[in-house]
Amino acid sequence: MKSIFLSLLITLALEASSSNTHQIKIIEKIFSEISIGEELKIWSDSSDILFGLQTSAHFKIVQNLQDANIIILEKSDTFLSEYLSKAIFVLNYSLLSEIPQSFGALFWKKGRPNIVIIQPRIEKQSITVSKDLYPYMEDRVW
Amino acid sequence: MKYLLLLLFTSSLLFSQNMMLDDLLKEYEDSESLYKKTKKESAGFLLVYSRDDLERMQAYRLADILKTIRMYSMQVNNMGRTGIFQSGAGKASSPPIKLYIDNFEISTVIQRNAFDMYGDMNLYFVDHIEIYQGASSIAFGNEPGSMVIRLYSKDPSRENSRSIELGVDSRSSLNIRAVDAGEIGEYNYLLYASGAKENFDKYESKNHQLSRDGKRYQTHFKISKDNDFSIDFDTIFNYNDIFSGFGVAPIDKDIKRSYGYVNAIKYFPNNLEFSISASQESKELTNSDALGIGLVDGTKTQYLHIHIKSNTYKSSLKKRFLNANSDLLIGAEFQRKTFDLKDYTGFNSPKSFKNDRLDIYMLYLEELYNINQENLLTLSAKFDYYDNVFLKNSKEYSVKLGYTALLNEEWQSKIFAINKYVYPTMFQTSFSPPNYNMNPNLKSMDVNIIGNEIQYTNKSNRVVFGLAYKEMKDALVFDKNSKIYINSLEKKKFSRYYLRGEHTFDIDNKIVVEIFKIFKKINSSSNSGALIQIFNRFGKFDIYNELVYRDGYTLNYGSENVTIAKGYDYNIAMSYMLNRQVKLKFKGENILDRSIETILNPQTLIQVQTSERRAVLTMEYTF
Repeated sequence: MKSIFLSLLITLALEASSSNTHQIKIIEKIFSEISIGEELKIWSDSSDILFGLQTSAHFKIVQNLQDANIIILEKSDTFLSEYLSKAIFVLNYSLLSEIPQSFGALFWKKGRPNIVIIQPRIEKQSITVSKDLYPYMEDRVW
Repeated sequence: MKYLLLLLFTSSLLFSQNMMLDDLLKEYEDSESLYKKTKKESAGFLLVYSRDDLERMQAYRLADILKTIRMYSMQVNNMGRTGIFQSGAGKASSPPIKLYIDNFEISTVIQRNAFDMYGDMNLYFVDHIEIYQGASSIAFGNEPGSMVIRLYSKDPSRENSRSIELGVDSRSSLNIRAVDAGEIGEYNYLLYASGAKENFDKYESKNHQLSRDGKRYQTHFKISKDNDFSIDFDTIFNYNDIFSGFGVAPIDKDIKRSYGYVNAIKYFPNNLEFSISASQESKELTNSDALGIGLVDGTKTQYLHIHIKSNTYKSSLKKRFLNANSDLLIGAEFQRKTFDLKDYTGFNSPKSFKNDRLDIYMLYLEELYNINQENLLTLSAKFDYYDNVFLKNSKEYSVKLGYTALLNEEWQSKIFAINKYVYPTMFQTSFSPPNYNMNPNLKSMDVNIIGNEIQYTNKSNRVVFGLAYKEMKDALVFDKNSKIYINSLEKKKFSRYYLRGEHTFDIDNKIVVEIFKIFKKINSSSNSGALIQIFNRFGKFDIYNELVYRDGYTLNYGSENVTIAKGYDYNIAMSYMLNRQVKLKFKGENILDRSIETILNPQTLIQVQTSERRAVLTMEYTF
């Protein structure tokens, strides 16, 4: 039942949940178009994303960082040196510059969500992407 | 041939799949629209212009939005400003429309309302606009108004960018604005600056040229930390030719207006919020007239120089109490308004300036009570104490009752009953312009409103029908004979309705159609109007069509009746995203050259269009 109490917290919670759903759908779509030559095992520093992606048929969600071959990173302060051996997808554009291993990002810029895949980085890490992601490929971080 | 067909098929398939990811991004953007988090349905009958709407409309100035608002019309005044008035009302009215930038109300002491300063402000740093009609602004604090317009600045955490926009138009006007917004650690910042040189049609009056060309500069800076604090600074400067001024044959003339404020809010745990602000405004005009300027005492002067400044200080404390079915807001606020007349040359008759200081103490509460999932009850009450320096002090009350019901999945009804007041402005009670007398004995106007809005919504359609009845006792009206604002002895009444339909073809394409009509005894401006908006997107092209219709009306100037023709303000806006950095935009304003007109003054009967025909070319570059 749709709630009319837009000013109340319950609605804000619903709105937040809805936006997470959209973000997770996009991430799921991106990762369904990515191949690293083995099964994708994803870990994230965001529990919402880990939870949201759990039902996906395209890849496996792991609870331990050590078991993952791809990391979805939301915050820079959670970055650890152990990540360096993994492929990293970030949710903040500035992290693309800060973490040279990161190969792509879903981020907000100028009030809109954007997707970027950095071509030289996926080539270096032997990541292949399907044609659906070609429009989002960039040669470098702007 | 078969390879060609295969290629075409593959290309179209690829295109549709790309669109799918693009569509997901659009859905994500839509779901995260900031207005969904800030709008307050319980505060009134709501109109929202989302960021996407504003961008596609190419609404560069606030006036581009104001002219589309139902039950309101635009008029140009003698000083060259385009103001907004309730439909049916005349130019002498000072509608108490409240303008907010984020949480700060632009309250003015020496202008008719905030739009004299901010009506033409550029919207480049604004994310979205919410307009609340038919309800008092109790929940927002401050003094009650007839309509509340809230501008929300862009959210730095979603901007993360620096961009600049340059616009030129067919009248050689030039506009430049830039925004830099983002995050530095846990702090959010937004920095905005704009400059504009705007040219308008010239008119001839008694062999003298009337010009309202002008320049405008604005800066806005905001720094905040989530759930901790927010500090806003804003300054705006307007310099423009005085147009007709107080006379009909202006010689040397200009008017300078400036406004600046700083507003700080501290957020404490448990929904406690403290704010403090200071603002200063200044107005300085020089007006020489070949035929002399008629003064209120019957004499004439060739030259006027008026310089007036005012300061406003505000402080408020708000606390929300959230329980299972209840959302209670309690607030207290203090405001001090002062003005200081720096110079008044040219008006030799004795004139008194009464209270130059007004203190207002306010207490208010608002309770939103969920009867159940489908029914919401709203009760708002406000007590204000006005402490005047010279005038008698007064106590004022406002009460609002609201009931919102979800009748089923598709139908919703909102009812508001309001009793509120509108306090006279210091411009009416305390400061005497040369063409009318102040009236320190003015008392507040008592306003009663009852309104109902019924809304039908399904997946792709939204239909809204609103009805309201309004009664005003002691209405603040301008008496042309005695040249003074008075409390009308006659009870003023009017009713109105509006009907709005929105059809969404898909996430990129929609149409909005709206009509309204006001029923009142005497009309001094359009009493009915309509709006059509068509939003289309084809790949990287955005196309927007808009028609603003305002009905014609007749003005009576003693023995002469002047008919104002119906206004058809047709606008078209097109933009093309060249690449990630560059966006090109074209806008045609008032293409039919038939926007609603205003009579500038009864002596010359010059008619001025509220919106001028012009073509605007704009380029936006994002770094």
